[in-house]
Amino acid sequence: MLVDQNVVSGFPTTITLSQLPAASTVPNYTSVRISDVGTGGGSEWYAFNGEWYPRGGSCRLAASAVAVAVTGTTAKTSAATIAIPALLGLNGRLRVSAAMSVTNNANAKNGLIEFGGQTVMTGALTSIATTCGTFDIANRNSASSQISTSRGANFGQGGGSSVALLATTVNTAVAQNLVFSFTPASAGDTATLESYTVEIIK
Amino acid sequence: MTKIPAVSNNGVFSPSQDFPSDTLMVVFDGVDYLAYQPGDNLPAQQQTSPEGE
Repeated sequence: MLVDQNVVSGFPTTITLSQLPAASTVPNYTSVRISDVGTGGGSEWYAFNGEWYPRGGSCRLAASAVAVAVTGTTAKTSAATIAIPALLGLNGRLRVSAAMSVTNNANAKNGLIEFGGQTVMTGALTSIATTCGTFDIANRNSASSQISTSRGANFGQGGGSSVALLATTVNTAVAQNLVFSFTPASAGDTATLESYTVEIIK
Repeated sequence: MTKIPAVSNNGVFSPSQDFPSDTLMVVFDGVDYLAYQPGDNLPAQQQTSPEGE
């Protein structure tokens, strides 16, 4: 049996994501450690009613405070690409936190965060020095329908607004990418992804 | 400093490989991703304010 072989030692069996069986094929509460999902050498998950859940309710997929600066170009340029495994299930969510700094002038730097190729945050980033925020992308009892706590522009969170919440239709039943990018209008400007964290919560 | 060539997919630049694990800062200079590591002089991050703010 693939899982629970190490229960005597107190640690679940370690496997890679590609070895993870469908949760529907193992008993509820079967535990595994997925070595290539999560920072810090992997993460623990358990099966329940046909889905895998991160132990403790969340799993930090990626985090970095190594600045990635984009300059000398007007082409769309990736500052970070995060692999999102197909583990969100029907009601899981991604929590994205990010901080960016840009040359403070009237030129557009066009910061963009995309999930599965669909926009989840965008901002021209004009006449500001920094922007930062946290938002969730939540599956709506469907692996292919999400609502975000972001309104899309400059993290657009909190308080009341006439702007609709951002809805997406990314198929999270398969692995997707979350991509941070900039498209500066002027090659002389600099746009920097200062830090980010991406978590699965379910 | 490690120079990582960029690749272009549908007009979008991205690094052709992962950054070294000891990377302290990365600068995309329009051609390559430059990964600065311990011992390298880190480039200053420029931020200008309009009208001398």
